[in-house]
Amino acid sequence: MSDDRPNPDALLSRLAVESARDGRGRLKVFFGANPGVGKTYAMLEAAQILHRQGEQILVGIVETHGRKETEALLEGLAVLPRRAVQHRDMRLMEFDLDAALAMRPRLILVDELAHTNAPGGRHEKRWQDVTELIDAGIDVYTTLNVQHLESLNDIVEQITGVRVRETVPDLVLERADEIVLIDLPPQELLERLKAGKVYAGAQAIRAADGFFKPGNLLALRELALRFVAKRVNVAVQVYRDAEAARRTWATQERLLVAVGPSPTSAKLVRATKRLASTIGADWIAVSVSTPHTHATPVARERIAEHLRLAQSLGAEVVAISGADVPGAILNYARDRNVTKIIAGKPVQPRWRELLRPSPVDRLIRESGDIDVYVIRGEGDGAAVRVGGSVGTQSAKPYMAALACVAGSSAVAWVMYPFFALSDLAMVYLVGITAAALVGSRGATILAATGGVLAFNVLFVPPRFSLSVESTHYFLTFAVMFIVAVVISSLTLRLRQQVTLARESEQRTVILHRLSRRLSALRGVEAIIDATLEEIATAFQTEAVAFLPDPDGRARFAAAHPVAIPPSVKETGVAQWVTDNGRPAGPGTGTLESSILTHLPIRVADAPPLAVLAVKPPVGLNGFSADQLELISSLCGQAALALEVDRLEQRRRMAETEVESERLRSSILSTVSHDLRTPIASIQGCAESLLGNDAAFTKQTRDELLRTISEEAQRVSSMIANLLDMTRLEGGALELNRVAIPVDELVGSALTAMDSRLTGRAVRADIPPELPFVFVDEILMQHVLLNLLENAIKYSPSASAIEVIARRAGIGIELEIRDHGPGLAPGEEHLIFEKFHRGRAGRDVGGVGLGLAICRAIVHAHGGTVSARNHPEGGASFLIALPAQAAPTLPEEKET
Amino acid sequence: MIQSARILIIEDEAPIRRFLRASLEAQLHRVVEATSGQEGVTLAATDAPDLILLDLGLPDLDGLEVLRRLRGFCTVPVIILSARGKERDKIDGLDAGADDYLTKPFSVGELSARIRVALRHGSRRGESVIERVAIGDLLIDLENRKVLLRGEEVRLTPTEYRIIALLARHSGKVVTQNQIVSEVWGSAKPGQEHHVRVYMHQLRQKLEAEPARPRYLITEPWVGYRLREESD
Repeated sequence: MSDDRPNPDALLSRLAVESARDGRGRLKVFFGANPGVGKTYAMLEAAQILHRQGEQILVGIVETHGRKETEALLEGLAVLPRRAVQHRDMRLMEFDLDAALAMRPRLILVDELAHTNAPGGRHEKRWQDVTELIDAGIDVYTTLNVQHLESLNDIVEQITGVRVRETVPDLVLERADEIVLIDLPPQELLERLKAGKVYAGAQAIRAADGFFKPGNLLALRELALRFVAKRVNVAVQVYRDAEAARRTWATQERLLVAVGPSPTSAKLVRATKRLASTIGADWIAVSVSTPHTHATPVARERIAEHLRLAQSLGAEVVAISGADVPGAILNYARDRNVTKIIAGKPVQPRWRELLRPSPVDRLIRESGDIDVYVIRGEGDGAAVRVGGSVGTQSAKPYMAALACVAGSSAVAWVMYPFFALSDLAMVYLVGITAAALVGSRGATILAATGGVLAFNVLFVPPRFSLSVESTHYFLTFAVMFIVAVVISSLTLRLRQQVTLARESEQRTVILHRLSRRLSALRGVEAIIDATLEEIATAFQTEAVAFLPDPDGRARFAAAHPVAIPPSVKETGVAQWVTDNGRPAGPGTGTLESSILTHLPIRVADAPPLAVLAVKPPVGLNGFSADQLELISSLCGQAALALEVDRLEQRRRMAETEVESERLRSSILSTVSHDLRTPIASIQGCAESLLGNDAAFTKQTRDELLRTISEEAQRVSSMIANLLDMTRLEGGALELNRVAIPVDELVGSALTAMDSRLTGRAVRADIPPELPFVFVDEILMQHVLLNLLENAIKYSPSASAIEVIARRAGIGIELEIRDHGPGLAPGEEHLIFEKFHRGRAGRDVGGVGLGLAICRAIVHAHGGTVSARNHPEGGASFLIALPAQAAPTLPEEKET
Repeated sequence: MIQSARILIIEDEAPIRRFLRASLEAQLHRVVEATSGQEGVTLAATDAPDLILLDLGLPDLDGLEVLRRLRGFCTVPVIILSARGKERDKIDGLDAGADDYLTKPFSVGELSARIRVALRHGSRRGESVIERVAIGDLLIDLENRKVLLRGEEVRLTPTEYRIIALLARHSGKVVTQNQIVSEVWGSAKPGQEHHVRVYMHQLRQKLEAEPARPRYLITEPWVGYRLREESD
């Protein structure tokens, strides 16, 4: 890498930091070596200065420990009331996160970052509260002592002998915008302590005896100073990067640590963190599951805990699986360009190492160009034996092994008189092999030992004693034993591979099945339902989905296998996940007290499209990392499907919009023309009448007035048609359907047209026994009016009009026939298009929307409309509608 | 017979008021105008009109609210004016005590017919009950509970009779489906509004010469039914 060019990764990461700050609040940490150095005091002082400058400041929570000077500094500041939490017999006063978020101050003071919240709060730790405040754009001042830093936890324990349980992930501090070191020489602190300025009364004495020893204080002070100094270095480096100063760019280091259930793992994780920060490297924590790791729930929980620890220290956390631990780790390390692997030094007897090299030895041997750092471990040496190599505890395989031995002995007993001793040894080998096929390694060894012993005692001369006559039998014993061990390890490995293959196949099958189902599905509901069903089936559990409404409120959407809405509390958790885009519930470290584990369904960093909540297996604290990963993968698939669906819908909407825009503009141009004509004549007639009233004969005047009236009617019916059209095209057409007799439908249309039909013979042929039609009365009347008007318009003024209804198949057919010139050839379909004006042509007027509206309305009813020339002359319009039986009436007699 | 009445117009559109005043005064009615709901209610209380024309789309008060206030102190006939497509408002208005409705745009002929009917019913209010209604060939004898067509008695079921009697008592006026259901059956049961249509179908078959071109039993789509008077 050239030394005058900034590493693109580094630039990217700086960019990421800067953009991440967008809209976030700033975090300022008042950092000290031990309690009593005056962090809270300094924080309040800083706040008071800002307060005097008119800043809006809220005291979220401040522990004054009864210190008078500190209390005095609270004066004038707004203090948030605490939230009372009942925990067992105690009433605890906690920081009220929701109230703080609701008040949205510019700056909030939250003392003691390392505090652990009372159970039942939203977060387990106060630093999580603070993170949420910052994410919400609120600036935070907080205080922290060096011993609470996660990565220094072990060192502090070594120095002081006190295990600090309340820790804060380094990442929180690393993301702080400003760290202020509050330093007080240990001697002064001890004096303050004696003067009762730190703790009051008995507490002061207890504190002085334990934690506050001069040696402790010195060491802690040094730690704090070093930590802050290192940060300054980093700050300088960031500055230099920004200035693109010439410097040597270190190659990108990447560390990998494997964690398991053993307590050593936590130590390994912290050591890796320290190493990573020293050399400025990324680091990855992996947990490996192999087929022969039957992890107990306890072990699984411990692994999850270690992974969470690593995550809180800034590691990337990954769960991988493979046939064996070292192989899986190395494969993954090579894929990710890992430069260093951190492993724990196993503590196992020399002889076992000779028999079977430890995973660490294999790591070292097969690591190639990857450095392996081995760190001294304590305990069971299972530092890298991930997934907990906890064998089957059951006694069954051992019983089976003994049964195999007994069976072999019985067979050999029968054969003894007829066969050579070496043949009997073969019988035992068969028994041992059988035991190896069904049992564990231990059981196989038991079978081998038992077999050798039984063979010796029962058959090897002298019989019925442990002593052996001839030394060559020892070779037989050894061969029996070795064969047993080899067979057992071969069968075990085979079984492991089968299990592994089966498991990974199951994973693949589950993922594949969902993706195949999703690819065929459209619509949010269908996608959510399919995802819930697959997850609930695959994990034999219950799954619930929430969808955000337009206001971003999480709403229960669906559940599988039973569609019971979840409790208010779970909905609240889902709301949190919707807002924050992070998982919550058991196994996630956030809102652990909920019953369901909630995962966001989201594409990359977009806001969640939905939230999936799954019920973890009973009795366990959450899902295993593997299971969670599979569920997340399934969520990812669902998210993609939802996204595709959303884009598809948006595309369709855009298309509809273009189409309706086109329609709108063509309507507009047509309307402006067609409306202008009648309005011009109305205006002309009216003005003539106003101006020359005296000059007109009565006949002329009447004619002008009639024209005004007719043209006004024309405008009115045009507007009515346009209104219908927009209603239909808007897609929001709601049919108000009722069962209505055909004669009533036709009757009300004819009644409405009465005045226009005078002078014409109107024949309505509607058999009284026809079934009813199920239609929107108003819209269907409008269809009839349009068709009747059409008939009137396009036929000679005294000609007859017929309305005929008949049964047609399972529906009803209505025919409206005029005796005019009929349709031009080929016009039968065209006339139903928008803006088509047919037949006699322009002098008849109208916007040409009438028939298009008729067709749209009839289609909306599930019917059809068509036009044809009647064989005996004139045009016929046919409407086919579904029929409905008339409601039956209670029996009544006529009187 | 031309009946001179005092008519209150509550309408905010000046052209409509102008045309209403012109045509009503031509028919010798006296006209009072109100341009807002509030003013309308006040004038109705102080001016004692014989009939009110109420526009449902007023700027200050909802037309239905004006109607409720009017009905709080008087029973004067009210005809509501509303736009096409507002069928729901019409039904609500009629159920809230309006006597009839007109859909804009309406003709002068329609207007005077509605006013005539409303005034006749208004003047009869509180007087003795109607005994018989004769329209064309149809005679509804409410006293003897009989219906005669061209002098011959028509056989009706009790429910059919109750419906035709109800329409007859309100002859010329629209009667909503709700009103029919509650007057005929006393209380509403689901599905009865569908039954009304079937009864009307049967009545038309029995009383109309040409059921699809009804002379007497007019359907007002979505709103209800009207027994048409001869003069219409």
